[in-house]
Amino acid sequence: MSSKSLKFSLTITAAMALILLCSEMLSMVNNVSAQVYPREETIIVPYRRVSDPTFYNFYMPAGAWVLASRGGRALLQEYFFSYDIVTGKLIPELATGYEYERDFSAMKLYLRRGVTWNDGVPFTSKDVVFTFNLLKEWAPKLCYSTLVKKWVKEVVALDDYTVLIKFTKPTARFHWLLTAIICAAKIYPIPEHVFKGKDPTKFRNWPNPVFTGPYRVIKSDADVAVFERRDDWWGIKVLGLMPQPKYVIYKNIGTAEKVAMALEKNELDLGDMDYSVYLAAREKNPYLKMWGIPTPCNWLVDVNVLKYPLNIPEVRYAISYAINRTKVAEVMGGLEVVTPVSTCFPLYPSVQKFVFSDVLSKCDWVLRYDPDRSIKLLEDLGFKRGPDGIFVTPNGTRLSFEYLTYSEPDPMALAIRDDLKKIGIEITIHRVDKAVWEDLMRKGQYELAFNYASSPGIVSPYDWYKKFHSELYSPETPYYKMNPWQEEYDKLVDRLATMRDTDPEAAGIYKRLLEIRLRFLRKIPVAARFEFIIINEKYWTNWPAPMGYPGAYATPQWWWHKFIYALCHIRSKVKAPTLPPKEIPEEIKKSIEELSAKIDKVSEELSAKIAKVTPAGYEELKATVAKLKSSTEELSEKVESFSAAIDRANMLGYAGVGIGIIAIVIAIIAIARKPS
Amino acid sequence: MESPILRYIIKRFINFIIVAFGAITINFALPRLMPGDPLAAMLMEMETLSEGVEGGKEIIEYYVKEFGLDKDIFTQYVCYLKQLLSGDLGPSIMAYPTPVQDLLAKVIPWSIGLLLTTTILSWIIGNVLGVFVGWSKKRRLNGIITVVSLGFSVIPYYILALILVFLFAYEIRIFPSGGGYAININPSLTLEFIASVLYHSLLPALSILLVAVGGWLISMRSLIVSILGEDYLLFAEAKGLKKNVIMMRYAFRNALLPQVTGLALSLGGIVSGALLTEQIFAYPGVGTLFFDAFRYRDYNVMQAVLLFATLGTLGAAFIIDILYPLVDPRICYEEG
Repeated sequence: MSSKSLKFSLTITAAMALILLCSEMLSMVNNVSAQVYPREETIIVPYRRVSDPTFYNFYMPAGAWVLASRGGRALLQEYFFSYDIVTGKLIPELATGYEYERDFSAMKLYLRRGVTWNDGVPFTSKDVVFTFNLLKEWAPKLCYSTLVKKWVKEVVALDDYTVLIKFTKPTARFHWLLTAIICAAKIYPIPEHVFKGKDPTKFRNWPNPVFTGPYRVIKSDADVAVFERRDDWWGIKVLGLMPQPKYVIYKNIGTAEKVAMALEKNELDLGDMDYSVYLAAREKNPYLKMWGIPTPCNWLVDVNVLKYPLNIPEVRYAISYAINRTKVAEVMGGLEVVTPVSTCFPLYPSVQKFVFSDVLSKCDWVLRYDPDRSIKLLEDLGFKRGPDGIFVTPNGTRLSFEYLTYSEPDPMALAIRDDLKKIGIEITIHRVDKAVWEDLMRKGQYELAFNYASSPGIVSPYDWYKKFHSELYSPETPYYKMNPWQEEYDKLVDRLATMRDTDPEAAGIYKRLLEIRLRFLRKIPVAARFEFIIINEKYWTNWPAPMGYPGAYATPQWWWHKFIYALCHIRSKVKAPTLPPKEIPEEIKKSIEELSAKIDKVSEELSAKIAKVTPAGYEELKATVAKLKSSTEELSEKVESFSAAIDRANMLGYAGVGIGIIAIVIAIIAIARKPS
Repeated sequence: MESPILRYIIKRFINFIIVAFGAITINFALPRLMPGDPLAAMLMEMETLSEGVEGGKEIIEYYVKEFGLDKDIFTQYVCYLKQLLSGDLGPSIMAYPTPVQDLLAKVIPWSIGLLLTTTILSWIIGNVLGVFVGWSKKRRLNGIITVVSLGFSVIPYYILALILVFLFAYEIRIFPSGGGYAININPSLTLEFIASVLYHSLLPALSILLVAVGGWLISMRSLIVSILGEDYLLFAEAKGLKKNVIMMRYAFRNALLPQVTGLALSLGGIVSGALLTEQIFAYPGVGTLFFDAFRYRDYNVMQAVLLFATLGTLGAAFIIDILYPLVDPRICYEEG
């Protein structure tokens, strides 16, 4: 064989060997992946990457990032209460209720019995006391510890399931700090037996992180977290809840385009994409459907009231009158997905009942589109239009402002710019990175800015109004100094802290606070967007209906705490649902308890009698018991051999059937092949 | 008599130290020149997590002190140098209290693994093809290769990567769409894990290769073409040497020298990761870490990544400076 053909043969052989090796590796990898997380038992959702994925102490920033980035809030961490914004109900979880003292100086927290940590240790009041004391001791190093230090004087365990929290000053709203309203609660219990003696600023709660939640972490990498359902979760027996997916995977998919591709190809069960992309994707994949909820954070225009002439209320009213909110909604996606709003409160019934129409009528600059009114207001202030149509103040300041935003593109900014131009106010849109925007907003280095109502008071407007109390302003942004009603405002907010929203006095206070905010108008409300997510029903069905529709029960946003309730309701389209064990009815439980008591009594009497038996009598009794035992064993052996015989018979039976079939087939073939 | 080699090395090393010091200073200053405040970002994150943060002022004050941001810029710089000398890169701000070196240790091997392989492979393939294209007289074939390579090198990387993902991960489905390894495998030195890593790196590597090969090919082709008319090649031909021998031993070897410098500088930059690749393929490398750090204004992580990238490039340049006289006998240490 020539050297050339030898080389050729060797090359071909090497290439084939390489291909074989690669395909072997490929099949090895593929087979393993397919086996472990069956698609019909797994929910896969996209989420962001985490730099330090094994930090499961959620009271430190690294842990808070893990909590936020993947299923910690829904699958691991449980809260004392959660709040269903769909139904407007407070859901007891680790606690069953609370009770304030009459003067709101303290609160009793009633813990649920039967709750256990995932290592089997019962959850009791000592965990709660430990948590509060730890947060107080380590404030401000731990997340939200400053809240505890501010509000909590002392925490006492009255018994294993009752905790008394004494406050530094009266408050009727402390329970909201323990409630997961949207994503998570601020204060949640940590296990005393795990954290005791550890430095909480360094302790990672890893490996085998301890939580009470229905899932455990079986894998936690920077780009993927895998959770496995705990079939020993306390909620199965105590609440009758059973999360359906055996596995939940939070995965960093990459860019938005890849998330859309993955949804289209059924590699994700939930995700998000642009509305227009969704419409196109749905053509190719009919399993995709959209689920929407008004976002809790309305969009608004933030006004720096420290700058002239924005510090003049009439200028702010003029800006508000000039914004055509309906047009803004249209350019932002249409009225089906964006709603014009008059306040910063989300469109949830619980808080909308505190938006008083008579106040809105008095402060109609947030209600009406009236550019003529805007122009009149500016003219009444003595402003005159310049040659370019832009108003100029008496001291020569042009009404030309920079509008700060981080959105790209920002159709809302463009629409507002056009609206304000019509009434003689010039806007220059200045787009920056979000981190820069946050920094500039915090330092008050802006004139007008896009903003969203963060913490808008989803269950109570108090949370929103409290943010503008003068004690919470930073020295860099003393906007409260420009509010002529600030003193009254502070007193009203302090008064509200000591009452519930249902108290008769509260409505009047809320009315006045709304009026003050709208008259001050440092934040001009514009629109509320619907938050959309895409549900893929290829493998899982029975997802919650959107808010306001029949069947609405929870939210499928996988980064919210209430995602767990959605997981309990959905059903696999392939597998039968996993149901919690049926709970024993109360009467039967009672009967069992009575029977158990009777057996105890008989057992005591028998023991007493046995004690009186003579040694001889005892030996006789012992022999009788031994005989009885051997008879039972003999019976047991007989039963086993009988069942083995049945098995063998079954096997023989099956074998017989198999042989019979083979014989029939052979006979058919023989007949068919027989020469005619 | 003082060795010229030693003198050369010492001189180059001093240069290296001076430039490294300048680079460290710039690395320190750059993140701080950027608008944005890391603690504001941290607080905003906490606000988004659950409806507002009361006591935010105290939190900010504590972390300002913790990260030394309350000191003046010069004191911060001196502290930074002291920390560097003791090998301490400080804690991450966004993932506090995790030390920066822990975060880097997790991601650097991925970036190095992926980029080292693809850089070397693209260099080899690009140069081999470049020699062939520059030397060969087959115009049509040369044209096809050149156009295809050029075409891939000018396509925006983002678009190319997405096309590859769409074709091979979603349509034809022979590669995974992202990640460093399969979900169900834990990192360990097993054949299964290695196979999974290789399998998951194929598509990102291919996307980098396709773009990088073109650059090396064009430069090598230009070098070969410029060498073609040289006297020593004519002489070698006149001596009766085979064409292949002349191509490999004379033309290629001479054209290779600048390419070696380019390779060294490219290798020096691999520690900085490939940001777009890692974002698109969700690959756990340095680029993604830097992207997150940039978003959250994590000064310590940004400084560390920039430091590694700078030192990597400087180190590679230093090594090339030392080794070049060995590769090219025309250069001697005396001239250095």
